[in-house]
Amino acid sequence: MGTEKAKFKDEFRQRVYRFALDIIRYVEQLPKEQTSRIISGQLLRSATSIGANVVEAQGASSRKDYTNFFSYSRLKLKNSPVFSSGIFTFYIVILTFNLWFLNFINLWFLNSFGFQTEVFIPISALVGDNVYRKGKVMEWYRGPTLIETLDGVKLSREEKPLRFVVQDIYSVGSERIIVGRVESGLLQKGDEVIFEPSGIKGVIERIIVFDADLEEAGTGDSIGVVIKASGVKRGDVFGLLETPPKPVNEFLGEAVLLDKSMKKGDTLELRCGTAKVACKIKEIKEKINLETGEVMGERSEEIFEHDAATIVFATEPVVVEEFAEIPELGRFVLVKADKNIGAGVVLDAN
Amino acid sequence: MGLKELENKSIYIIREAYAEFDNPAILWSMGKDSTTTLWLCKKAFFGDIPFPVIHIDTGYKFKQMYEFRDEIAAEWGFDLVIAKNEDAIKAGVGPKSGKLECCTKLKTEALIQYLDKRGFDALFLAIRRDEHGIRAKERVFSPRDEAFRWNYRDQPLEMWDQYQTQTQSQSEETVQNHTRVHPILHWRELDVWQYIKREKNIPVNPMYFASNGKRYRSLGCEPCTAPIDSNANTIAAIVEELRTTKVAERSGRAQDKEKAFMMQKLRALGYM
Repeated sequence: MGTEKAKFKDEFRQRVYRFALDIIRYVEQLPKEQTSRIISGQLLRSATSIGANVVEAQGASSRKDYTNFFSYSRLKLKNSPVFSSGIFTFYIVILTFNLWFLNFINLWFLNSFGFQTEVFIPISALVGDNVYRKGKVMEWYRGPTLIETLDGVKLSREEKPLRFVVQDIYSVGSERIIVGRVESGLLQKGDEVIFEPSGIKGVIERIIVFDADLEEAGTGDSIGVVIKASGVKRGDVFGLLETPPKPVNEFLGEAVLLDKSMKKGDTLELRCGTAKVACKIKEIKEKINLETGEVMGERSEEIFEHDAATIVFATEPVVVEEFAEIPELGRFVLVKADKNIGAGVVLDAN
Repeated sequence: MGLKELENKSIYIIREAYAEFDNPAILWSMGKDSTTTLWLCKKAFFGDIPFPVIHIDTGYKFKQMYEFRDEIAAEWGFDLVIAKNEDAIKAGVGPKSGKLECCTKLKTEALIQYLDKRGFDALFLAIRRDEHGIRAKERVFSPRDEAFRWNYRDQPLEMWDQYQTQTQSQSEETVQNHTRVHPILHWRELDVWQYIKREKNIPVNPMYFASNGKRYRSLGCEPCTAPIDSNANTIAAIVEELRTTKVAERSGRAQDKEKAFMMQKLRALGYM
């Protein structure tokens, strides 16, 4: 019993920590509009405070103190999934013993927000049931425990179209290996691909890592590929022929300036993936208050340090994706006088 | 992060630096971190490390470290170069001169002299954020000015995987000398050992394994490095030990602790 308890404590701490990290990663991917900015903040605070409360609880002076901390922690946990609803599947963790109350919550509380949930997890603050293991208190509940649910949560990028960014081309033996990273989707040997903006087409003959050939590579993998085609260069992005990346020379983005200033007509360098292109500030549409997300003025001529704005960028041909679709290629950095001065996301690439 | 994710990210960083800089090199201290980084470079370039491997030799390293160095260099066949501050060694600089002086003269200055000679614009270093408070403040790509100073109060913006790869020599503030690149900054000590366990081909200096109830957890110069109490004599046993230990990794490294902010001062002066 003693060791089981210790194991639980340790496991619980680790998973709460991992949960917080997952949420941070997730929030980074959310669109940065006014509404989601507020939600992001709330979500981040809820998720990260769970861990803090658990740690605090473990140092609590009395049993009552301990359960108080945990209850608060669970309330925060409950908050997190509620706020992320509508964008992904969400889960509700609720502090209850009673099926009737659960149904009531489902009907009243959630419907009033227009939400639907797939899984309700009733947990007990007092005895810990349904957090890590099922207990006797709520035998009517047949669903997964909180831990099982968290373990099942996947933020999958592999269902998205394939995007591979080219970092470099190496000559190894007699072969030319194109190295880079799968930013989204799945790559398989034999795939017909197109590189943009160079427009080169080819078939993937080999997918290689050091000392091994692979049949396929997934999102996040740093790999090398061999194709029969030349002219590919750093900054190119390839995708499948059926779902090709589209190079643009103009897009709408939202950017925040963290250093210096920029004004309409300025030429800067834009970096997205491994691409570096010249870009011109074509139009500064709306200036946004970073704290509140409120629109501070339309059609500004210039923005300064710590300002955010929606901007129309005119660029040399470059592959960008809308942030809501493929976040890895939907974010960019702005460079002025050899210095990274701002960052942004792509709102509309068409 | 899982080991696969850690490795993918490190290889991405190594390839970014190699693509963006003209004349990179890697520092190798023969310890577990820099040997792991060397292995990651091998993987990133499909077998051969395409740049020089620098060992900063203070002359005070353990005998086993020199043996290990020569053995691996011969086996892997990379371009090993040795940076030594001969003048300081002749002038008698050593641990008795004080640790700030000794580390700065024999390590940092040896490196500065060597870099001047070879004109490297990027240096791969195997530091990790969880090793030391001051290292936690680092960027993955971290510029150094002509005096090797690290301006930790005003570091470049590093968003996502967009690093400060461009040198800032034209900018108004500073003249840049080189950029430090940290491919395993995001790893923990435990990750390194788990990775060594998984990869099987990363050579490990025997000093990391316990004998007579003591082992080294972090390797440095002989006069300033002490072993810890341990019975871990295999990689698996080290992984187990690290899961539960409360002892800090660099507890056996004297230069970290002599005075408050010693490491901060050392690093601001260009120390690793």
